[in-house]
Amino acid sequence: MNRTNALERHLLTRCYNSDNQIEELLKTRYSLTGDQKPVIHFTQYKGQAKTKSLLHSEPNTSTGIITRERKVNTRKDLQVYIKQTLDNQKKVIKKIQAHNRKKTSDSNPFPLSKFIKLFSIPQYEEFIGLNNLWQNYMQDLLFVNNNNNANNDKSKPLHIPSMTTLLPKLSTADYNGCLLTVIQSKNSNLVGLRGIVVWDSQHSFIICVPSKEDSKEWNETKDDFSPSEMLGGFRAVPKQKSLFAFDVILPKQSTNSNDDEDEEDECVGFTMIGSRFEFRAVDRSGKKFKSHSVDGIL
Amino acid sequence: MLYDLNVPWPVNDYHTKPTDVELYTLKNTIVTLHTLGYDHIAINFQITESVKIPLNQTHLINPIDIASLQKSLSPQFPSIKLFSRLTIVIYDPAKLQGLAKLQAQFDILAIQPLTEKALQLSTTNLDIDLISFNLGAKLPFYLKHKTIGSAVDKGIKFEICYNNLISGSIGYANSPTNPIDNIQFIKKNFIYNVLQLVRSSRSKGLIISSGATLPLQTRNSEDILNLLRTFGLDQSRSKSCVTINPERVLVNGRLRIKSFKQTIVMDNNEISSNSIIDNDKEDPKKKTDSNGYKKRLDSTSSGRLLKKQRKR
Repeated sequence: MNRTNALERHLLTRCYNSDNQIEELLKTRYSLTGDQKPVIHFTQYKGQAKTKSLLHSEPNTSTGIITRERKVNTRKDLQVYIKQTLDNQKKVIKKIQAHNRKKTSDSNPFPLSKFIKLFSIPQYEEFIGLNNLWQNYMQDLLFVNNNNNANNDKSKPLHIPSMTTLLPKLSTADYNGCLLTVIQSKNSNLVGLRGIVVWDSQHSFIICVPSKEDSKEWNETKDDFSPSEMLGGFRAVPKQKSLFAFDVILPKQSTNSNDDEDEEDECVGFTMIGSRFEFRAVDRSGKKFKSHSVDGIL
Repeated sequence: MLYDLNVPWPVNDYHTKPTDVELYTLKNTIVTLHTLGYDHIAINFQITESVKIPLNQTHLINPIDIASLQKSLSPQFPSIKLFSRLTIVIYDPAKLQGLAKLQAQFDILAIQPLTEKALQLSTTNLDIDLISFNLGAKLPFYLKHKTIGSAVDKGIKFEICYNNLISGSIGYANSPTNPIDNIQFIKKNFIYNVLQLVRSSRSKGLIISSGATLPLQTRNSEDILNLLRTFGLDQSRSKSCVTINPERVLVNGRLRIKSFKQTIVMDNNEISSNSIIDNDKEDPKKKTDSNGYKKRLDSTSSGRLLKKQRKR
């Protein structure tokens, strides 16, 4: 017989370590003179476990198993955390307002940093790292082929791929960590607000906004700020009827010279239409978008 | 902001080039419109379905030379924004193909259906922004509310082109599309047709445009509002005919080029209120090219913020 018994061999490799053992088992199973077993005995594999990739490896502790409850709890905890932070911010803002009302000529400034610590209000600076990660992710996503070309020919200026390749990628990309600016909204108070996306929920973006002079474009030269601008922290911006702007920094072309320190970075701007983004980030990744009547956009 | 989405391009096919005189008149018309308060102006290239479109040579599809027009006008009138529009006159919807290739070349796509079947098709199947009728001639079919209403729900607008009313019988008799039509009935037909359109659309989703071939055929918004009031539109509806509705036509058309299925749009201009419809950064011959959108990080406020934090 010259059958290879591929199927059985494959199954047996899961149970036995050595090839010799498998060979012998198969031989006895189909030998004319041997015992011609009608059954195969699969034992538990005792060999060395394959090392899994980092993404798929799970923590060894018994609590590391992700159960459904744990998932639900995580989501709930996040919701609770965001809600709590927003509530705390309101409290601090009330305190600032009360302080301002009481303010007489000799009063000292409001102890803002103390209250930020007390209520553990997240600050913009904590999320800058996230934004830098996001920029790298975008550069990898959008200009991946260009980098390869750039290695061959560094003197050529960066060629941005056409819109037909860029925009579909962006529409399914992840926006946690993106620096968004609200450029149009039904709520005119939100216009000009900007911050790093902390959580991309179905109907709104939770963004962490910078405080004081960074808070809005037209605040750069101002001296006095409203309580909420002083505080920073989280904001929930509804996606519906808003337009968001964001910039993607182009990857640096020349790495050989040192004098490009003062050379200005270049970027490409994009606008996100909030009304068309009312999906959870998970659903959006595999979504087939369709054009609709534009009446509801703005 | 006022919009006029129909200023005819002097020629109606691909073989002839507009003469200098024609271009001069066109520029004069644009400037007149600008002085009347219109700043978003679309140049309309109207062809019949029998005209062969050079689909394989993408740079030839759009004969309207927006770039040179803009160049000659912008020193004096920087606020004029020019757009290109294509209107296809169709009898038989089956003959119309390759619309997808045209979409990337023109800012606005319009259809002028001459049969009921063509209207039906353009409201249901085609991805267009605008439907116009030849309002000077008697429409060969009855406008049903169901057809028109479904198109309005989809976001397609209907155009009322007032040049039939004011250019007079002479201007119309020269028109190549319908030479034998009874000249004296043009105004009568126009008013009847507009009333039909207003009735069937329930005065929603209408836009009004000039269609002016001469500078004197343009009217200001005040006159237009008066005209529309005589057709039975109320104040706010008639106002939206010159402001909101044409803007939506432009947004719809521009998003087809500048965005992916209306999700992410190229370019963000925080200063200009309408960066969605602007076309000043793109290459008019290759509208999907994105190299024109490169900008300095320091040029915007959020860019400066980004730069500051990356330095740390």
